[in-house]
Amino acid sequence: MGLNYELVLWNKHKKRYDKWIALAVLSYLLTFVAITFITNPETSIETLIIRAFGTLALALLHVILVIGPLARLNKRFLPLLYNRRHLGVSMFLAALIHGGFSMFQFHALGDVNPIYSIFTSNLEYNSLVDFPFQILGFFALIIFFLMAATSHDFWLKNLSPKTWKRLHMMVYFAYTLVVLHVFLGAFQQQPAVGSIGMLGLGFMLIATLHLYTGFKERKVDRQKPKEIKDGWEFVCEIDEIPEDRAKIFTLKKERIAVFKYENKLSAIANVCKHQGGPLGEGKVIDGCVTCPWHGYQYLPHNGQSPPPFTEKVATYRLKKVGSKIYVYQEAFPEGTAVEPVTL
Amino acid sequence: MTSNLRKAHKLIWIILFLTIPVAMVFAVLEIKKPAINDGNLVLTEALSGQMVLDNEIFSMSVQKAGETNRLHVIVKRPMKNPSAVIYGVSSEDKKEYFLGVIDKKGMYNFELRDSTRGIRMYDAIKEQDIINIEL
Repeated sequence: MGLNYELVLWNKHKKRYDKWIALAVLSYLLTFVAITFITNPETSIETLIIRAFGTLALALLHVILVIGPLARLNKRFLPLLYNRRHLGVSMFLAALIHGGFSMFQFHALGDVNPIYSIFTSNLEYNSLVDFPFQILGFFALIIFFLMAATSHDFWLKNLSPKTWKRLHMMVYFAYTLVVLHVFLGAFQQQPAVGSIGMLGLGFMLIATLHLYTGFKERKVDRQKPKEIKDGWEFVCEIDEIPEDRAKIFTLKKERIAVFKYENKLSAIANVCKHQGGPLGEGKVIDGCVTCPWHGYQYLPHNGQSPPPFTEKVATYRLKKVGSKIYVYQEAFPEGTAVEPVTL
Repeated sequence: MTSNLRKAHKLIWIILFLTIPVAMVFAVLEIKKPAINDGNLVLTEALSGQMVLDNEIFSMSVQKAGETNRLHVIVKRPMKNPSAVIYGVSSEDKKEYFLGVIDKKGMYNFELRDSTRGIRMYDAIKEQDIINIEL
């Protein structure tokens, strides 16, 4: 997290991951070009560019969409989540090159406006197989543009996290448009069993991972309280929480994280104010709860980001009876200081 | 994520899981073979007014126009080919001469040389023949 907005908040991790992205993109493009020259040497440069960047964008989109559920299943994928925005912008640039070259190749040579031509050159809107598939890709590209353009924290802050999140959840709609764009376009013209199978499997992988993690989370949400007395809910034994870590519980349908640090216990809301990351899956670093997604920090006893930052999350009262920990079910307003339970 | 966001994600993926495979299956079932290939060409005599070719995408006929012959092409529905250039094939050493470009639905007319003995429509991007007809 940074106090002032910078174009890119570089750190050594981001630089390292960006180098990996660049290397992977370059390797993919070179491999694609080499295979094309071997198998179909007559292909024109324009067609090669359209195909290479189209398939690259598609591959990157699949990687982007599996990172979320994979990070929920295994913490080793969290560094990918941390760097996902740069991958998203890279995917948009590849899609833009694909779309731009396609528009110039197929729509820019007449006296009709190329964008108008995309919408009017094929008017078979009532047909499935002859549907003007380029329009689907065009709208997906618009969504990717909006996402890439607002990916910076400046927009997250100014649009409000709620609006920003809604905008960025449109990636699922864009993904649907892309799948249909490929099935009604490229696969109709050059149906290859391998390509169709790969995209089908890619979709199944993404959908299965998202649904699996979704239903797994539902189990946590539906956990019934073990013991409630006078508004105090028993959550766990002290030993169940590792040092400088937290355990997550569901309290009145929302999640809270109980942290153990410096021989103390504190409870805060589990949702990071930045992008809704699970604070309880983070660590206490330098005395602050650190979100595993993008490193936003909060003081465990009052849920406030350390000055000069202003983010705040709700806090909860805790009490210890023997080795048992109880949480009071009503949350305090965001940023309210609560005396930690001393062990 | 808040519980509402978690629910929204799950609902979105349930809907996508149920709808996208259906769309995929329908799209694959509708995949057609190339409109025309060399194996199913219609060979006809180039008589004025006679239909040279008629299928679900193209209708082609040669018509008398004064002293010359004219190729009349009707594109009935959008083609799958991103580019289509049409050539006449001359009977003199089978040389091709450029007639024009077919780019969207509609009617096209091209003047044919007297020596024309074939029509070739070529996709320069896919580098393949769309039509190759002997008259």
